[in-house]
Amino acid sequence: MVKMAKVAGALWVALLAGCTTKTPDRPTIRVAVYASGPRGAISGPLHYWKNRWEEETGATLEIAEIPFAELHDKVFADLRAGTGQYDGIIGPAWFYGDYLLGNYILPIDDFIQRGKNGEFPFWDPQTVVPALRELHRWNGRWYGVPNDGDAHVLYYRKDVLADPKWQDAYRKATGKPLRVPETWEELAEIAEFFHGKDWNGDGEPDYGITMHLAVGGQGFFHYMSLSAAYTVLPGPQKDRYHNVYWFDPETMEPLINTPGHRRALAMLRRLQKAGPRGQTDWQLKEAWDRFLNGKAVFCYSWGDVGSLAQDESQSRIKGKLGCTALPGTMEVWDREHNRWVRFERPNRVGNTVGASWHGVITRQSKHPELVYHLFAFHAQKEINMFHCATGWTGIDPGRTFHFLQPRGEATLETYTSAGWHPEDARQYTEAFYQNYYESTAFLDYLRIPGTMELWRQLDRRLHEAVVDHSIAEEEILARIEADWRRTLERISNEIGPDRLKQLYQRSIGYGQRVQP
Amino acid sequence: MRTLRGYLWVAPALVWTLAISLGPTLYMVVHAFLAPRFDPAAGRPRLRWVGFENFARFVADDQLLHSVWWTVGVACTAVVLEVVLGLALALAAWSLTGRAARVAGGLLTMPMLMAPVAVAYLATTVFAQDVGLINGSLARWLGVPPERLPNWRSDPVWATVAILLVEVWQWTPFCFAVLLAGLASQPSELYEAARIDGAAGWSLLRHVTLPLLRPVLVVVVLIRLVESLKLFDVPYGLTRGGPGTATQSYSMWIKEIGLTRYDVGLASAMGLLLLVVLASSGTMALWLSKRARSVTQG
Repeated sequence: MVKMAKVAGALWVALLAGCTTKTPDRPTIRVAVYASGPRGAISGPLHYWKNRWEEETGATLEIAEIPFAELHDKVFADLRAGTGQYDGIIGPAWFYGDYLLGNYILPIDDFIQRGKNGEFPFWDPQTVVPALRELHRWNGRWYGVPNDGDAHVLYYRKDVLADPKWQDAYRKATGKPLRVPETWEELAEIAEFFHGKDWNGDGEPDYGITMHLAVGGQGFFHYMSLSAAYTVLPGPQKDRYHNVYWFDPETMEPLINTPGHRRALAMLRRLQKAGPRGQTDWQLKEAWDRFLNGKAVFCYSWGDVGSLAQDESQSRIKGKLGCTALPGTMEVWDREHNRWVRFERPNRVGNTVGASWHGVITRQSKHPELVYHLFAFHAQKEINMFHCATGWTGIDPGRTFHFLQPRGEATLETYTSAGWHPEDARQYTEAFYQNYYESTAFLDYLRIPGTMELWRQLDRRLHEAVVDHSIAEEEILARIEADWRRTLERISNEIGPDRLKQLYQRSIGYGQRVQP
Repeated sequence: MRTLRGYLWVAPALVWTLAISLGPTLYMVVHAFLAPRFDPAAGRPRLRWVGFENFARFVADDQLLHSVWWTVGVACTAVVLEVVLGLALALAAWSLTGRAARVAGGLLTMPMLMAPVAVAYLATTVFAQDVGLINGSLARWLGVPPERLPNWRSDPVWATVAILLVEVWQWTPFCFAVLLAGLASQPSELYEAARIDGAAGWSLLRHVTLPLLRPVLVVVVLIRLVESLKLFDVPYGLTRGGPGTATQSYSMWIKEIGLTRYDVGLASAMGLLLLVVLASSGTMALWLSKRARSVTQG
């Protein structure tokens, strides 16, 4: 019996030793990233370049893929407990409030400087578009290494909108010319016109628009980018009433239950009716697939759609893709004077909605220089450009060299050699340029502690709004407001109301002049 | 000396149990009465005794209260369906003999061998709105128009039905397996005596089989009830708690409040309430089982 126990014990120890064997003297870093596999968005590029980076540095990279829904909880459980599982995190920009409050990540200004001297792969901070640059910084210091640039743009079927047959039919039906929409109102009218018609000739009724509206399906980003045009009043400065979206920067009162939001939510519901009934339980891929397979005239979403459209194994619309900055509104709610302000040209508000997935270095890492090396390797111009032009990587435009000359440094050949249709590439890069540089105002990005919670609450209430149209817009918005008040009160109790306000003001750049 | 040796033998298990069970439980109980409060003097939050404030926050939150009633409703409905179906299947399998019984038993127990979260993700393909197995079949074979198809994941009632169907599909086999074992262990002499007395069919089931099976039935019902009240995987994978928060179970809220919000006080208060309910159910299960056994034997 004793002998058997000894044998079993020896086997157990051998098994454990086998499980934990590591190459001696070879430093290892572990990076947490949004899970989508070796050929999927965001995690894919890490796998793709893993061997080359390991050869270059002599280190080992462990890629810890974590599903989107678990990412926040797993990362912050580790950071709070101080277990040090992750040396780096390729996470979303909305983690910053929680990162900085707990002092969990390292500033990288010193590394950037040393990169200029050749110690690390070099990337130029000036190549990050200004709107995205701020998402990687806090209080004047760099913390994140650029990787992905997220923003919503409007995709449309240019062959359908330009078809004389449909132009005549639309004019007869509405008395208006069929053109690329400049306002959400126009977009809704056109989507409603096409919805239910067999405009692609496949013998089945097709859709006006597709959206990803499932709870947990990031549908709230649809609402954010849409509602910005109704609620963000342009002005020369980010003050109490201009260029703000989330909370009153002086009082931290939620601004969600205002007339601008009521109109925006009504528009979201109107657009939803011009799309398939099932989209209330669609995630990103399901919504994108319908558009890529030629079943919808419109789709407004991230840059992934444009680059995936070039992949003919999953797209039927290569060469038919139209792309422009998001539509605007002719009226914006003015909170200062409690009235609608009418514009002569649409108020097209730029956005950086989404994650803008990028790397940060955790304070608990034993190899911060290696982690920075990895992120800088991916941020280099050649590699980042390759990612931007390649559909499956999930890396979207956000660096100056992504734009075509003379806007940026890229040539059309950069894209066509990666398989792009030249006209698709031209419109795609132009739409992102318009969004980042030619908008009337900008939707500010929420980066306070508890952002994840506030957005989950928004997501769920918006889902209630799209699955049950009998609930009034005011009621839905009042529910969101109540949820947010509770959350802000809890966070205020914890960190103090002044600190919360200060973090919010800092994160949105309160008081700063807005670049035209 | 013999006593000390005995204690030494059980010491590792005792330490292990205390470390992974009692430690976290004590942590939860203490934190249910604490909350972080900003301390202006220190410039950072400190944990403060807040009495029953966390419990009051729980009671004041409509969404959390909804999750209580929803979870209890789903758990009770699922357990009733699972036990009734499991009993019917067990009785049917009991009447089979030889290879047929073994094959039936093997096939019927397969669903419970799968990971619940994997089952939930697989179920998303069954309940998808346009191309799911059910709606696709209804549309293609029965010609049901799209607007009349059930909206499985975007309608609170249909979403609850979908979760119930998955739960019942996965856990009926557990009830079947345990009840079949219970039936197999019943003394055959009693049946022979009952048959001689003229009992058959329904009367045999009602007056002999079910009374003999009562201790096992009690245990099955309470094990399943305790498990179902902790419902997490299926709504998490299938509906994400939606539409809105209509199918967000109590355990899903605890996980979210504790790990996403890091509101440990509220999560601990909710966990403590759940622990009390489950511990009471467990105690009741033991008591009922003992009572049933004594009645049967008496």
